[in-house]
Amino acid sequence: MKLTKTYGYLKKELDIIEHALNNAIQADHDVLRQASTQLLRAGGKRIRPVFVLLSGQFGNSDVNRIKTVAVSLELIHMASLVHDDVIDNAELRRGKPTIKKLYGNRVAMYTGDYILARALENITTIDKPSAHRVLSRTMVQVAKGEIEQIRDKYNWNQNLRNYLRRIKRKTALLIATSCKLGAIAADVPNDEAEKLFKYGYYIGMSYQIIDDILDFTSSETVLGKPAGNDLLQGNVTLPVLIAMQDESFRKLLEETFKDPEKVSESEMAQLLGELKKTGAIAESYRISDLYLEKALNSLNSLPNQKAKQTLQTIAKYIGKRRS
Amino acid sequence: MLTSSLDTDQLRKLIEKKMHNSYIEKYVHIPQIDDNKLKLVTLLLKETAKSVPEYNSNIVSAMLVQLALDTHDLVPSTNTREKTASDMKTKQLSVLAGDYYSGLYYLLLAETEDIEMVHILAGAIKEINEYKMQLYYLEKGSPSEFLKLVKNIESLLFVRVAAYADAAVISEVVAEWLLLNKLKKERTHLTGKGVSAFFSVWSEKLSIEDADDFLHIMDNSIDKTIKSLTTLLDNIPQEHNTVRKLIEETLE
Repeated sequence: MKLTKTYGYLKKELDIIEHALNNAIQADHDVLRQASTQLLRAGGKRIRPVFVLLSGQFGNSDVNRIKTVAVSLELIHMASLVHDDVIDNAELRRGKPTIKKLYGNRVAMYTGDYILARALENITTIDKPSAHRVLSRTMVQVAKGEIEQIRDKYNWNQNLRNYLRRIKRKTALLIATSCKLGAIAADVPNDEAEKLFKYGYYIGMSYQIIDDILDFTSSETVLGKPAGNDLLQGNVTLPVLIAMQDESFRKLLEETFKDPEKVSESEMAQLLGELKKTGAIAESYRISDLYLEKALNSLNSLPNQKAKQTLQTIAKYIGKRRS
Repeated sequence: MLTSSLDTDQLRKLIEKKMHNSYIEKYVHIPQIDDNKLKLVTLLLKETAKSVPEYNSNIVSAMLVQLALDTHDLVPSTNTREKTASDMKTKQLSVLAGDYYSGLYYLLLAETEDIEMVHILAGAIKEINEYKMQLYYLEKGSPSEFLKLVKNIESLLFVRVAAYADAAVISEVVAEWLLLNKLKKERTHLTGKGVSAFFSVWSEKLSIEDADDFLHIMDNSIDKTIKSLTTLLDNIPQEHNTVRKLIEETLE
């Protein structure tokens, strides 16, 4: 079953959000408008708006109330993608040329800044101080996480704590914030909003760990980039951290990356083969499952309703992701 | 009327402390805080805040927005892969530093619950990026078209802050003054160091290849802006005397 089927009944609400997203990025300048709408049309799972909507179902779930929050969170995500493509010199995203590739760095920077500004202009129409505190803290943490990711590249001496903090900032917090802001916008009681935040956080952690595993286990056709690409870029993810506990693997890793610019395909293939022999993949899945379990537990005391079942299904779907 | 317990130096240190990140600073030459803009925003916001902490936080937030925009302007426009790992890090961290400062201004204002100010600043960023796009795609425009866009990019943030502070009446003075400061600064760059990124853009847009021709056009523009500013200053309402004094000091 596809993930989108689990929340298919939200189609009407998601269409309203899609329409609002499109309206939000109608810039005056032709190229700015084209670049922004092109990014929007490239699609994506719209997982953040889905979490906003589902969390909102625990309170006053009028779509117009929570639409603003959903639109802003998706715009923040979109803006970060445009800037990420400048950071990574990326030419393709979801199989289509990036804004950086089509229009250059300058336009990509202006487009990202424009979209982010629209996100904040939009969400500041909501008079909920707690929502702004949560979102602004998250934005700062996300930026810090990305800075740390660059700092920690090719650093083989980092520990599990570094990694977990990094993925929390990079992925989990924005999903957790989507859940919490949906709840705040719908006037869900505080204790329930906090449980939804925790659910989003644990789901985000699990999701990112699996993403990091798939970088080693999936094929180039599925990934759109060579297997082990994260490691090749110097990103030390959970499977590598676990595999490094094996002295011979660590030695081979350090030897292979003596000059990161000159790692050959055969050296990478050998390294990936050795990584898989250490049992690091299974151990990484085990840790991801622990987060999933915590995500499901966070939902336990929430009222039984369709949104709760959907959040449970999404968690299970994410846990089973193997490609 | 509130009086900040902090002078310009202390406010600058407060901003620097807020944005401090040793790893960013190792690779990115962070743009300097513009003292004139800092003094201007301090005067403009004097009437608006309910408390001194809120006043200071509004000043710091506005300046963080300016620094976020300035830092993103450091990202090279060339699209080829960077030659060294260090150049690559400088570019990457210039992108992230700007995003980080944007998060910080929102956080500061969210903590003092000044959501209206976030709305104003975000709206200004949106418009400035529209003008930056216009400038980027301007083809062989006239000096006046070029300068109009530069003026908007330089001043719009402060024009919006002025409107927020019920001082929209001095918007044009503020805009002319900030354009003048920009022109003077770039002229000093060009004559002192022989290089100016501003000159490169201008010469490309106006097809001027000779530095002397450019200086001549620039001097004419500076003279015109001073004349226009002097006229505008004569008509500035009494209640904005502090802003007039600040501007006049820089003209002497």
